[in-house]
Amino acid sequence: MEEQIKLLTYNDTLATRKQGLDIRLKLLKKLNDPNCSSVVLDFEGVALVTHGFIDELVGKLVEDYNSITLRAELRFKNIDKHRSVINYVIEDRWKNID
Amino acid sequence: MKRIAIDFRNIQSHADIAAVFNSIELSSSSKILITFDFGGHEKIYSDYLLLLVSIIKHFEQKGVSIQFQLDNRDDKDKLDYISRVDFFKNLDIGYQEDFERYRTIGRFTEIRAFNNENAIQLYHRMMSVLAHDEINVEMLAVLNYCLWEVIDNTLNHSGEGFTYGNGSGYGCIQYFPTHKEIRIIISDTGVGIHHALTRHPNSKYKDLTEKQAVLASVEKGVTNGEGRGFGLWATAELIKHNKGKMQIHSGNALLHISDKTEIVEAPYWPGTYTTFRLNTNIPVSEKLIFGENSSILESYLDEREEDGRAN
Repeated sequence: MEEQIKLLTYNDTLATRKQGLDIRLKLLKKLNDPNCSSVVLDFEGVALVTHGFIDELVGKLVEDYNSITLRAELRFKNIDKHRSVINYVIEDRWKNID
Repeated sequence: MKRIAIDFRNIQSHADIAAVFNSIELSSSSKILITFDFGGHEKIYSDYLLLLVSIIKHFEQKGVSIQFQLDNRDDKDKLDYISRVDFFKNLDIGYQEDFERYRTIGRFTEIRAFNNENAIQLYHRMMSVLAHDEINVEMLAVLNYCLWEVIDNTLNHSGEGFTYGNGSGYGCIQYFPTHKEIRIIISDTGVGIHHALTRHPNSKYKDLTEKQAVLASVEKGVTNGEGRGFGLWATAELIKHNKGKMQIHSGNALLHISDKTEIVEAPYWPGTYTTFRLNTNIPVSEKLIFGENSSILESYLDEREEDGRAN
């Protein structure tokens, strides 16, 4: 079963690492649920994300999940405005692992 | 009752404010009278006033009973300015304003306390001061990134217990168009950089001295294991490219960054403050700092577009 996390329900401004951590803990709970096949992070309506928030939300997952698992189980939706930040943070975390 | 005299004729640097409070031993049962003399010809900057607010509030929270006295009321323009940046209001000192308060947008922010709940509002207000055509957009983008990183560092690393969002602090900014200069300060009276960097269970830097820890805080990738270690490094790089000045004062270590980097022993500051002075007429390239794949400018422009739509 695919699950969805609508980030707008937390705030339209997602800036702090604390916000990122709080949502990542919920995300991890879903990813670790055997009944959940994948999770969609939906950025619809989110006005601002910071590098710190994205690093805390998804950057840190890169250290715990291999890329195949992560690509299969985590999807992003409505990220047009935030694509550059998400890509930059994830690439940076991959670089550090390499 | 003990007495502390703050005479701005004797305050030549930010560290001098720490020195004044080092000169007296305070316990939770202490009662002190702080006298202010804002005389002299020198201009008074809000970043100095913010440090006073920050350290006085720190002692009040520790239970020290504090009374205030304004010794010199000769220079009304100066006192009005001090009042306008909310110095008196922050300390609950009565001051009769007989001037109209114009909007601060584009010029400065008042001295503001922030915590996890309102930090983003302060950050937006501080950035709104910088939205001038005089400042190149790439520098604005880098500054936008750095300012938030320094604020978020305070939220995440100044509080006890290594818990995100536990910290709090004060911040303000002022733009001086004639001198083409921006002055920014973020201050806290928390655990300090040495504690935050060396005591975290995941830290790789447990053996650093205080001076080494403060110096390391501006190196790329240095973190206690929680973040990416980019915030202060990027800020220091911005300052160097901009030929500006930066200070990080934490505990007894004071780091100066300008065309050279110098770490010195300083009077004790209970926590950390960071000051920046930037030249608005010296452009900075984001790619020089963050590399060719940087997303800093793109995300800043997206953010501005979103703000424009919201307004």
